[in-house]
Amino acid sequence: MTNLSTKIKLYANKEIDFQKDVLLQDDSNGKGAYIKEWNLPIAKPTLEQLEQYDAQADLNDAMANLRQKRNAALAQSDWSVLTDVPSNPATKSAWMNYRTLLRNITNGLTTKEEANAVTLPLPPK
Amino acid sequence: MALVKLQSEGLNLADNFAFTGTVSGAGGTNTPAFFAKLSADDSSTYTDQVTVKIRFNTEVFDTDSAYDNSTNYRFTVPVGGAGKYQINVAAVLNKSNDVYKTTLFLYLNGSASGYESNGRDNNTNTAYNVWCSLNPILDLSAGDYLECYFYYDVGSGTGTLKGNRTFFGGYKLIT
Repeated sequence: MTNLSTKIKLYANKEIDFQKDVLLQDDSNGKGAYIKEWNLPIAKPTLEQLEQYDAQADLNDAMANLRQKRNAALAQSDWSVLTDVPSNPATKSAWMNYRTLLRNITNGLTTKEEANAVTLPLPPK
Repeated sequence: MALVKLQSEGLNLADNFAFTGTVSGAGGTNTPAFFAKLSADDSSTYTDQVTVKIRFNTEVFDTDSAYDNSTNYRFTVPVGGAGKYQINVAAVLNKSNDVYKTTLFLYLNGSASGYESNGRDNNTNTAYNVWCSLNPILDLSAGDYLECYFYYDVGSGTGTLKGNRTFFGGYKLIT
């Protein structure tokens, strides 16, 4: 499901404080989230206007999920490129290649389906 | 029955009295009282950057049937129940990383009451269980209702409210 906050950020084309600029609320009554307060100096969007951002918002959310997983994998392999880690050139090269694959993993992705289908490479043994 | 403690000048309040009957007309009870929690971990109800009403759907006790655990998830002060209440709310968000901010709100009659708690309010890449709690004493009138809302801002994905650590309760104070 597309996140309402993502669509509103796309509509406003800026970062938004969702406890000050715009308040989104869900009363847990099955009707979903809605705009409770709109404090931006631009017009409050209609549902139809927000629906135009569905595909882009889906892609943004999927990419954010992928980047979060990628960043975690990079953080877990930071040790491999420390200068004082004893390893032979081949091992070090394998880890550097692995990290390059991780860094480039979002290249060329244009749909949420593509982003959701990505699997992270396995670290060297 | 021997009235050995009854003295000509009245009762000696320094004496000890071992009652075997019932004393009435003194003291009071801390009711209405209620306590509700989540039935289980909940990861589906909450979304990023949206203030969502917490669905405390399991009552542990509810002395006056004043807590609604199935539709509105609210405590309503019953007729004759006006007074000062000790309210206790806690919520724990579980997420492995990228928790920028969490806020627990107590709503009074459909609006923010001004009582809120930030469990985390900074940008971090490491978080696991983020705790928020509120313990206000409120002066409530019959018909007033209380609800709890939860907000989180995460880098990506969704968090889980922990069922065994997320609860809402309260009781009327004896005044």
